[in-house]
Amino acid sequence: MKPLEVKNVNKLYNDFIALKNINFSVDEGEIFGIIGPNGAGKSTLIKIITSAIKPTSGKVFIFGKDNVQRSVISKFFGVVFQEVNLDPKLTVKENLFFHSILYDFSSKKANELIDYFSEKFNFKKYLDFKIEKISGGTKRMVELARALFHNPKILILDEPTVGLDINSRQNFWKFVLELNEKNKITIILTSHHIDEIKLCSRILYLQNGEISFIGKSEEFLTSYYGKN
Amino acid sequence: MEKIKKNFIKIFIILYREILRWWRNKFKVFTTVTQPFIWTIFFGIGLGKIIDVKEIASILNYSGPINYLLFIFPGMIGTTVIFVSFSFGHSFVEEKEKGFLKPIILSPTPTWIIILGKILASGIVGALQGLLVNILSFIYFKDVAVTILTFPVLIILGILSGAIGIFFAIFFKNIGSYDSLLFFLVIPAILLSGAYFPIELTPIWMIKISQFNPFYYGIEMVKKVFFASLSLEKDLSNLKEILATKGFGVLETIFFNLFFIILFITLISVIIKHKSLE
Repeated sequence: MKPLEVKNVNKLYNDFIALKNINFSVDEGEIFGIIGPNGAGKSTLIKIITSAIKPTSGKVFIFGKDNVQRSVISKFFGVVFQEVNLDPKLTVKENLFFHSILYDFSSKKANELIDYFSEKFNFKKYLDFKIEKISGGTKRMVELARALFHNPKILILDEPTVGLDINSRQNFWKFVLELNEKNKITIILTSHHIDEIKLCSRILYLQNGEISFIGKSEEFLTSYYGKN
Repeated sequence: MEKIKKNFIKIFIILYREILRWWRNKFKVFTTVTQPFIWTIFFGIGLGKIIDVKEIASILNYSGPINYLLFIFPGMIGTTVIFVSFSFGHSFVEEKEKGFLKPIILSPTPTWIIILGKILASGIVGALQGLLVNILSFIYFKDVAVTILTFPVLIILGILSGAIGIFFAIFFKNIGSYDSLLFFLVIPAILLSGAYFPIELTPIWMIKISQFNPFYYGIEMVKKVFFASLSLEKDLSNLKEILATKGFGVLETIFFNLFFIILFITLISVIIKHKSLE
């Protein structure tokens, strides 16, 4: 069963066509890139996949299950969003703790997970810091940890390294690629960075809400960037 | 049974999160408590000079000594609760605007649990801030019954105000637009609630409008419990008499408040089934 199948998805905002007839599927363990210029519909597509918004028409299936059943499918994926959305009024630990309870973990298990991930992603010393007091790179690591708490089979990364310095980006990708390799976690990525696009096995290129290319990333890079 | 237990824990955790977020914003706590004081001082001293207190006493069905400041005290407590609890709608829009709500709504937790947790938190926080103001009434009136007995109805008023605040918050995507509601809707609704002057003394068309104003029933409930508590003798010897003369009025206003709470929660449930919270 495919981790993700998108079938005939259309999204209209009044008369504006945000997405038109989107069809694709993603294989298990694949790093799949959704790219395109600003306003092409990438974030709208990610929102539809994660069931944050409903498509005007069409269906999305996560491991064969219709994604309208949010309580069922949300355990399959973890998301790192484009913008940091950790609550700045709460500490790192509180953000992670509240999140894990919403994913049905007991408080004992939640604390174990916080210990494990904060150790693995090097933010243990910041656990009692409010989010507003930690660096952008650490925030990203906390968000990555939060996305992985429930051991998802799909990791959705929506421009995850925007605003990060080179070191933080390298650290972030070191952990993500390790997860992909060891745990065979499927990764769906949107990015504007060419070195991140190169990590993808396949690329879907969106332009004005339509698919203008879908295929291997090497082919995409040759046809779109090779000419320049 | 296990599922019910988990849902209770989730409602509690949302509620706890909201209370923590509120408590960490000390400036907001300070301003929402002091604002009604300022109103009370200016209204109390200003309008107190021109309003006929005898007429108010007859409307209130209260036989003790009364002045205008005493009349607006429960209104001021109620207004504090309304402002604080309604502001949870502001916090909800802020969470939508800044994206903090996104990971919560994408979790397996049903949306109704998230909303219910937030509404309950708004009720408790609103009532707690109302209680802070109410403690002053204890200093002023030296009457512990007033402070204790009004607290439960403050929670009801808080839940009602929070439900109304979150109901409107569902439709707004930015804080600026939502906050304009405060001037467009909430302040007129508070003025028409009877908190600062008796609605019964206003023209008939204002009385008619106030009958559709949920805050009118909220403030009426607080006023009725406040003055009934104030009428109680220290040894409760007149409890039966107070219950007989004022009990029905209190129950009636509680009923109207519960009606509006159920109405708004039902509306919220229907809307979120068809509308994304994004």
